[in-house]
Amino acid sequence: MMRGPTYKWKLHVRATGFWIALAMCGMFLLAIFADFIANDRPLYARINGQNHWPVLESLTGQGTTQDTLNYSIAEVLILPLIPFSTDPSEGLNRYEPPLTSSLKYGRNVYHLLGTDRIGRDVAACMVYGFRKSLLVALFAMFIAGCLGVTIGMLAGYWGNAARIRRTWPFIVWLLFCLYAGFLFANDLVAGWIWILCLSLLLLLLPFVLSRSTKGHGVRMPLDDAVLKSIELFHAVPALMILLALTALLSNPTLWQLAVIIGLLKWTTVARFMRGEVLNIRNLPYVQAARISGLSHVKIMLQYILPQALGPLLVIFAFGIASVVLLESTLSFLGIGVPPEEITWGKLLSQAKSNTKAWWLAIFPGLTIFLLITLLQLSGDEIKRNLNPQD
Amino acid sequence: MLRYVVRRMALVFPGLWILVSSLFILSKMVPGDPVLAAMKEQSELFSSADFSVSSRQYAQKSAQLGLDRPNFYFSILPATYDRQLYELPPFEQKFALELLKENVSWDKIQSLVKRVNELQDIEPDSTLQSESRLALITLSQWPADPKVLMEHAQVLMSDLSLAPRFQQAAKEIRTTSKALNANGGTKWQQFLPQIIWHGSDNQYHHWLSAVVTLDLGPSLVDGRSAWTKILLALRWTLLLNLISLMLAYGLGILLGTYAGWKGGSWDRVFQFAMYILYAIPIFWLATVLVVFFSTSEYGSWTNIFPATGIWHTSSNGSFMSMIGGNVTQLFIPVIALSVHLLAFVSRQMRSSMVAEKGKSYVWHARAFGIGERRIFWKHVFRNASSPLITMLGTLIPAAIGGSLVVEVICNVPGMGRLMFDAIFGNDWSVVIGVVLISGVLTMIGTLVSDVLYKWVDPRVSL
Repeated sequence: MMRGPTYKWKLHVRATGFWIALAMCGMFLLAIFADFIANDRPLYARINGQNHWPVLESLTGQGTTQDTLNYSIAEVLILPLIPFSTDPSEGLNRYEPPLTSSLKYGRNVYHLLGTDRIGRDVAACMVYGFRKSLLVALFAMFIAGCLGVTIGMLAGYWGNAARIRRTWPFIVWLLFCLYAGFLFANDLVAGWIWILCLSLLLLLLPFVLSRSTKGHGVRMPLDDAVLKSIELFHAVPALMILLALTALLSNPTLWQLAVIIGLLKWTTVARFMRGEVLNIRNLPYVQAARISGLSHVKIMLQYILPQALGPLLVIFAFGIASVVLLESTLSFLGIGVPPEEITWGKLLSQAKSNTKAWWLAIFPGLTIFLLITLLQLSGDEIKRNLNPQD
Repeated sequence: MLRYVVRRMALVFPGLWILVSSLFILSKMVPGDPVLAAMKEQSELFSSADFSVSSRQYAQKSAQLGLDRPNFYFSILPATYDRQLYELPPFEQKFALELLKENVSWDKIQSLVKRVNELQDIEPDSTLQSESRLALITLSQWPADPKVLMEHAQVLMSDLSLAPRFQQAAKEIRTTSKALNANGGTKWQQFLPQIIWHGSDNQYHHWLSAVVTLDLGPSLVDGRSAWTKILLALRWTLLLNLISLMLAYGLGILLGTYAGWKGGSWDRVFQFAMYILYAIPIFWLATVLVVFFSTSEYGSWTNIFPATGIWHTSSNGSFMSMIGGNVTQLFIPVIALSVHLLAFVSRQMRSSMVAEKGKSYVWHARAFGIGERRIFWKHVFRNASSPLITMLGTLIPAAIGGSLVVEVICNVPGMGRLMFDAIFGNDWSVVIGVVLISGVLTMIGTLVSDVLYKWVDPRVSL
């Protein structure tokens, strides 16, 4: 039984690499345990000798009865690090500077990073905003990664020499797609599906007709097609496309926004993957695998993909950084991000309307900057580990 | 070379075509009725009292917006659908479509449409009974549910104050819709596609020809031509980007070359600083500059820059005089925009400098006894700076995107600001114009940088 090449993940972790890894772990822990770090309710309370775990219970869905408890008479009360949720706190404490004290459950607590326009605790908002940014970025990069890796792999592996022995399966497939589109969208508004399919057909038709050679099937210039379409995607600034798209969708959810960003970002991954596969394809072990008669699918998945994974991780780290930047730019501008969502960009944008609130200008921007820097540092660190000689 | 330029230009047009088409597709994918939205905007929204006008108003408005035309040159519909469907007014079309989905035959729908239309001629005056008034209102909204149709037709039928021809119509509606209830089942023809050809009088054709003839129409907000607005705003964006790019290139080449050539501790400091500058989000930098350095909020010494957002754009002065009047306004936007570009350019310059420095031709030149200064200027610097030219192609979209944010924060009356306002005002003709213009700018930028690259480095084959 043939086995794929074995790889040793050499981890030359330097001191900086260790700190970066630690920071990344801390980041993920912060995002996962955001509810325990910033919450309105106490972590633990003992009232009349009874033990209560309000945060935990609210997470498991039993928390509704806990609201009636009077925590101010508790014998033992452990509050989270940031004892506020993202709801506006009671009273008129809008635009409070950092370290303003306020009363909670009969105890003195502090707004560590102040409050915003409607009296929300900035620190709490930032913890939840962080979780949201990270989720959106990961989701968007997941979509971009799936698309980009597939397209880049196909383009790099086949180049312009992809031969299709039989054309009829493609034509049948195209007709089937058209028919499926017809079945699922048979109303007047569905004209756009036809435009899409027609443009696809128009793009494919010249290749199907002109490059057909007798007995050798049809040559598909896959590489050229992919490169050209990447070029098309880069023709307009991504921010412009994103703004137009999100505005057209009028009220997209954060997930829809992530999908749109993912659909715009695949080009970076695909271009990189194509280059990487072009190099790997000519390595001796891949050629050996081809000679031994392994199927193309197996070579692509078991021989080339693992070799390309390391460099892909670098692109992924940089990609996440750029998605975080895009998302926070959009929410800063107030376009495409639903009004009820709390994000870093939105917190920062409040500083524009009230120049007195320096904490709103500093902290959210600083965390965006730190997150981006951290992601870029980790990308560089992975790159350095992959080729230590550079 | 010329062949290459022509070939590249030829690629620009399909690119723009796809861009325009996808914008069209997207505008069709938007949920919500654009006709209703337009009517709402002009506060023509009908109250339910004057229902008979509302349907006609709707048809009028959609004809005015050109939205009553079919979407594309042809449409593919189930074989059971009739092509007369497209000749119906919008409300009736929706009604018929709903019923067609329920497998109602076209003849029955046609008769229903005819009868309900007849009923709309009833004058909704005070002599009408309140029940039948309600039934009329409901029917005028074209309910596609046979049960609802039947019930309300029943009410009208039993209203003896109505003219006999209306009663007859109501009776027919009732019998037809009653038969619909019993009817059912799927016909196999429904799964058979049928192509209906609409000719060139469709929305896509009109959209495309409007873009080709560069006629975006008036801006929906103030009625001025969308192109004039965009071109007026474009001057500021170009000015801003030009100054920032020049600053970034000048300083970036200087810093990057020095760091790459000298190396050592200065290089390390440089790398660290550029790493940080590169990661600073533009909108944060601009906000911090605006908040801290253009107000006297934090002591007078931080109030370095003039307050942003006060632009002297008198319409009679020339552009040059306008620039002169607003020089102080450009400080913050230029700084915010050029910092990111500077980091990008200088890092690139440094790395290509380091790469060239270690190449064997440098040692060769040294071995020949050529002076360091000559090696630097004549060989290393020349070779290292050619990648900067290709970078221009990738920098232009980044600069346009970045200037959008900066313009919004600092209130520069440029293209980004215009786009931002247009999005909030649903001013689509302006949005599309801006997207097209930025696409064209990017394509020109890429083309120019490619040609320049070839000119600088003749080894490159295009």
